[in-house]
Amino acid sequence: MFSGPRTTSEDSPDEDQFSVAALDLLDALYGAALRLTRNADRAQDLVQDTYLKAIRARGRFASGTNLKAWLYTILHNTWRNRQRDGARSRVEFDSEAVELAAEGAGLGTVGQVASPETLLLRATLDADLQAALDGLPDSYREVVWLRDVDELSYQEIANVIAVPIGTVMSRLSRGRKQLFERLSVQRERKGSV
Amino acid sequence: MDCKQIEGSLAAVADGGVSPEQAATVNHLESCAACRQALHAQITARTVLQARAAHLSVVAPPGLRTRILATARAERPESTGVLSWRGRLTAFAAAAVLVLTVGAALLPVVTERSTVVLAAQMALDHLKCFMIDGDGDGAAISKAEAEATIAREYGWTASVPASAPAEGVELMAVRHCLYGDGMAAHLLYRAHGQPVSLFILPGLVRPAAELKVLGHSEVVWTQGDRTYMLVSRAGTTAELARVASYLRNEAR
Repeated sequence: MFSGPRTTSEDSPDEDQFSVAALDLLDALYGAALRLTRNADRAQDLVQDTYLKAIRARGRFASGTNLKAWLYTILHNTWRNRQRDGARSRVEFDSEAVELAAEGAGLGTVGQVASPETLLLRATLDADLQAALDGLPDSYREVVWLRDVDELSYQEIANVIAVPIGTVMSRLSRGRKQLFERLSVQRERKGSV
Repeated sequence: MDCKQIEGSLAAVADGGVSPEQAATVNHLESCAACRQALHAQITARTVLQARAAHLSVVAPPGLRTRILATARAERPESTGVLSWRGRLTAFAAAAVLVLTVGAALLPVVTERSTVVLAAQMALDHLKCFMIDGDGDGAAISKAEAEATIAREYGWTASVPASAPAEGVELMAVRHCLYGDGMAAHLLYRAHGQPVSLFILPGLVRPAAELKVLGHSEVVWTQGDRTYMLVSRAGTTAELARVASYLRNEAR
């Protein structure tokens, strides 16, 4: 995390502090880009574009607010614009259809999952968790990630993905529930008790 | 309120925030087992993600950092801009510290909450604590150890009820609970093999109560200027009241 002007650095004393603070978040931004693009080259490209825009728009960053959330917002905007310019109908149709399908499939099944939460938590492997996350619809996964991994506020998430806060919260509820179900199913398949 | 209406606010409850505005949600949860299950599912999913967040992160390719640095240098503003950014970011850092401090102070103010809302919060804390770490290494700890931990972690003393085989009570661990600005001490017991939590909230006086909240039984009592809340997910409130009666006598 950024913690004031750097005094020791191989960079010149004039090194742009904003860039330094922003670059501290590079891994997180790259991870977000990978989730959106699902492709390493496109992810790098998206991140580079995001940083360029951020550096040019730095004057609009409100100090005291969450720099990570601000960068995520630029990244998501950039991604949305690219989709619009490219395969607009395909992408939008996909995400909407997946969301609707997920809604139908996800509701009301939690009650049938018998495994205790404690065992689930201890038995879940990182690879299983990653697989369960990957299996979520994009729109759910991103909200769950921004909240539970990145700890953004609901309002920050709403800004990042450009939807109302109520939508954030219902997607969060559904995404978590689906994640739980996927983890539970994985666990049952592995035959653990 | 139906299940659909509370769906969104369930996310907020799972995040550990039971605010007075969510009283309706808590009420609905009382009567709806499916939503309670959904809440447990959400808490589990969030807890798993938080616990594994560090393992899920990726590392950006080194070349990417280099390219962005080059971009940043090419885009670097004139020196006035740099200076203004320095000032701006110093303010940003100061604000970050402020946010952390204020964030802690903004943690739920216990005294403004109804007993039911408070009890709901404790039920969630009980659930989370056992989900994350269980109750220690499975070995009971001594009264003296627990009291020393409380004195060290909280800066105040408390008489901690010891294990009592005749009562089926074992003292398992002390947790530092963040709830109420880190003020509530959290003692983990097993009562007849089932996990129970005893929260001690200093500076709070509440009428004695026995209640069912979010599928948990709770017994509340006050001694001096401290409120004690005993929480269990198993058994009946009457069974828990018997455990409470032992603990209450010992905690004097």
